[in-house]
Amino acid sequence: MNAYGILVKVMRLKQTVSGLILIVLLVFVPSATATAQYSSPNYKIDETFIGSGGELDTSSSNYRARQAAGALAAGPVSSSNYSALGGFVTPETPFLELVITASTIDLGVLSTASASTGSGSFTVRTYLSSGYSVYTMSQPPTNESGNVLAPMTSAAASNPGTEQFGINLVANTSPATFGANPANVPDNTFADGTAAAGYATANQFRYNVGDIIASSPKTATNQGVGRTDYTISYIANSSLKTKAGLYTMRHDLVAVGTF
Amino acid sequence: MPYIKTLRRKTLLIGSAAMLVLAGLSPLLNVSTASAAQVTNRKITIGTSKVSTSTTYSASFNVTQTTQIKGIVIEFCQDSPLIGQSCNHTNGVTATPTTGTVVVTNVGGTGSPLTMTVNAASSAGKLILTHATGFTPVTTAPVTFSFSATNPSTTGTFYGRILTYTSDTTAAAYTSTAPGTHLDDGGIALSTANQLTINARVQEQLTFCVGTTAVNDATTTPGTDCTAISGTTVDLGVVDSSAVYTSPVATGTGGNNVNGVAMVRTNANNGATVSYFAEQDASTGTDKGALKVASANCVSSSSNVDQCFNSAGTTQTAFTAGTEKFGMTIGGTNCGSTTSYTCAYASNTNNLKPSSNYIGAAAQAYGTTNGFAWDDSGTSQQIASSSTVVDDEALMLRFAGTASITTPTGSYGVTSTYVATSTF
Repeated sequence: MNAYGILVKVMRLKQTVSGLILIVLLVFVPSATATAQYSSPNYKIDETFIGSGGELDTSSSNYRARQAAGALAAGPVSSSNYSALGGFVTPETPFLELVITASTIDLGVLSTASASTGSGSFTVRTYLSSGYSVYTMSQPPTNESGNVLAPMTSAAASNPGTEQFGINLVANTSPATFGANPANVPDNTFADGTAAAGYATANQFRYNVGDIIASSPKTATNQGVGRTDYTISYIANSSLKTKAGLYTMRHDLVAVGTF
Repeated sequence: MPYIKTLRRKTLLIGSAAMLVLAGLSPLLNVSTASAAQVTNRKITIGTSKVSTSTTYSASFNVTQTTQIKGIVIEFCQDSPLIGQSCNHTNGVTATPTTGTVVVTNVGGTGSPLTMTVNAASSAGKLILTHATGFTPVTTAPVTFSFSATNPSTTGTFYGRILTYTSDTTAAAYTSTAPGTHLDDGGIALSTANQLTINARVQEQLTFCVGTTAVNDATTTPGTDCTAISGTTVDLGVVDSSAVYTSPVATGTGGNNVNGVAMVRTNANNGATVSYFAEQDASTGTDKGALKVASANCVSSSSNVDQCFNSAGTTQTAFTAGTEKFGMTIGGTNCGSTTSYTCAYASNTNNLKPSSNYIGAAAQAYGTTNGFAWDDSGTSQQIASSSTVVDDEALMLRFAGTASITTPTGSYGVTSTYVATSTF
């Protein structure tokens, strides 16, 4: 009896020790971390996804796309301070592009009897921003002697016979039918660019160097993705004291994106 | 024996359960790898989008932690904003500072504003700011600073990478692909663009007219503009030795109660001048442009017995009744028709100003007390000028004559031509 009892105690101790050893090892062995990156000395895969299928470069003569099927969720997500685009073929690189699509606007010979008008255009395209602003940075039209057409520092209507230079970014009916409202491409669900305050009222024109003339404002639902086509409407009036000469303005626009 | 099997089995079960529990807890016990957070609300405002142009770059971003910052890196790349990737500088931003200092501001941050040194490791397109003690930022205000740089030489998108460091030496060791341990980072997209060109032309303009007017001051309009100016004759009436007869001479004394008037409108950047010359008649001898009987031969410029009034000459002089003289002056510049700027002769705000020897009275007064001048040689004499635009300002031409007791009778006259010249 005594020999049997002793044998049992030894076995229990062994088992206990074995269990303790196993437990200790589990505590200190780092768990295997599943990562989404695979790399070798020469190659690297940033993101992996096992789904129904996909194609990284689908193209025709006019279009190009990347496709993935089977992702559980994809698309924009946002809060008041953060936003993101989910999905396995969404590029990770932010983007901002400002393109001038009309190069020269000739307002002709100014007259004290009627206003001269003209239109120019530009496009802003952005990705992964939380909004952008477009600034106008140039002095008003200036002649060879350095005389500057008087800018309309407050939004006002055209007044022939008073020296004026101003712009807006909307469609107008006075002093002529010209200009256009900002156009989000292909529609307002893809972008929300808009004319800025002071430049958003039809038939009212304004110009100050450094003003914001267009913007895609930061909102909780704005993903900073998309393209907006803008039209700038220009007006100029001369007075009896407007000095003679060729007035030229190289209109410098600056787009600033916040990321 | 069954007891031993049971015991072994219990031990196995307990051990397995422990394994399962610990497997579930092991991720919590792992030491995770720390990674940089993103700077938020980050942007770089450039002063111009014109390619290859030097301008001011203004950076602004919010940090997410209040750890002391001793280094800030901004690198501009043509190909990618992603931290840790290679950076293509070709055709990119150049002329970022490589020496000197940059003031970094974080309102509310301890040590702000801080003058940070442009580290020697900076290069074209890569700005590294370091400071031995740094500043402790707040997350509620942006970190801002500005520096000069030259835009890329191509139009389109380019990128900026922003990194903050708690160690100035680590910041100085930054490379594109080995940024080192840093606090916060983030990428920004910027864009250069072509420019719109707007042209407009204002035609050179000069409208000048000469006529007569009953107006005899500097404020009453002689006519809205040149379309309202007419007349060709200023009649001084019967001139004798008892007085100096100065236009406008009343009809009661034989005059026609008018002055001469010369009105100018021009948008010349450098203004205009007005001159006159006396037409020379067909007589022989001297003083062919004097106030004289037509074709009469003048004896001399001082004779009182020929049928030629002695001209006042090029130097303005006051007349004395009975001392034969003829001349002209500008009583004042009339601003009655000027609308596009403030114009008042009495305040000297008229742009068209009488020239020396033709200023009628002193101290911007309207009058003729300074006397008269007249050049009868036919040489052009300037009587007024401006240095800028003129809007329908009118010179009031005042003519005067007095006879001597020996001045012969006759009908005397002189024709003068006026010329306005604008300099654009």
